[in-house]
Amino acid sequence: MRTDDLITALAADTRAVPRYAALRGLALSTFIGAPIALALTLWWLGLRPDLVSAVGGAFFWIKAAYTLALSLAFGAAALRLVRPGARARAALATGGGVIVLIVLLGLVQLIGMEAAERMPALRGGSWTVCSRNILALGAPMTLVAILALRSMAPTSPTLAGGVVGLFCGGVSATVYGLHCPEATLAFVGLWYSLGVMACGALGVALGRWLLRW
Amino acid sequence: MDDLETRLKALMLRGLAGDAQAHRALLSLLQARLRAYFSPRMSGEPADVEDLVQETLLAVHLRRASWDRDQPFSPWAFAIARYKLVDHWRRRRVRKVAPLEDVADFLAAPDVMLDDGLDLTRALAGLPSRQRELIEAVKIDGRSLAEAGLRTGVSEGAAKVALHRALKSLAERMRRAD
Repeated sequence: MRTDDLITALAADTRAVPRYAALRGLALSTFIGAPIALALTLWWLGLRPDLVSAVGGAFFWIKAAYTLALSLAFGAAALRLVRPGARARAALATGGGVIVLIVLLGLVQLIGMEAAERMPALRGGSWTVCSRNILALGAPMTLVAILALRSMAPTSPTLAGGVVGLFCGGVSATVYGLHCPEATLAFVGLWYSLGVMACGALGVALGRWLLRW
Repeated sequence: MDDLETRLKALMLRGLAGDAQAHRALLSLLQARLRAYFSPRMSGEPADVEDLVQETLLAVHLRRASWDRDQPFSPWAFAIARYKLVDHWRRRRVRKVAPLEDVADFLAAPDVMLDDGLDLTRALAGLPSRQRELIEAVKIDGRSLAEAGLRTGVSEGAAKVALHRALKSLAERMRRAD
């Protein structure tokens, strides 16, 4: 088939294309994925019993601010990574910087403690399940988001998939805060971050497979 | 070069608004650029070059929603061409690295002769017969979709959907060709 014939066929398929396709895809997957995470929290994990008083304290919001900052930074990076020719360095550096910051603050907190208090602070009451739960809440949204972005054109499907996963992990960790009563920076810096990164790893696997074009 | 960028971007914007003539003009300008960019970077097989030009045009067409209208057009098109070239090398197991900074080359390289694409012909042959007939009806003397639909016995709306689906399926088949 000649290239001119192909162009004729392509021109016949011209239709108006809406703006902000990537943003719509990510917004749509949040509107689907966040309620799924919330439903899992309500019916599977349960809300933390002290939710009402926790909302009045600072730490509940510090946790939420951390995970929301992650999703904003990685969401911005994902929007760029699915577009050929766009760079996402600043957004990726911001997301990475936020993780480093919270880990450092957690370390400072641990160093300031008595030696005997350190392990209990780091493990809290739920270290065995925290990261796994964040992955479980974020996995459906990661799949939805990657499917929603399949019409985009990431020049690195693996990286784009991973960053989409990190975005979804941030959203899911924010929702998970409604269940999780842990209240140390050391705990959040380690287990929340690992949970978000597990969503990133899932995104890498899905992106390699589903975002190729 | 800047002049070409201005023209390409204006055509792309009109194409995105649904202007088929502008879209056609864009793809025609682009095919010459693509051929000129791929030719010296591939091992002298004109049919391979044409396959890649066609695969890239399909990608540009099907994935144009991924272009940000506030950005220049050429870096986007160039990134798609480069991705397709690297993917081609990967499939053929050629170990090479495409330099990042030749968007200027991409716009300025001299034109090369036009040829037939083998992969597309093969991919087309593998389509369901209704989709294939539709593409052939549209491409031969540029029948309108309504006429092409009539020929293949479907409404214009259905023909539109079927054509889009057929093109997507062609792109997928070409990607998996080698």
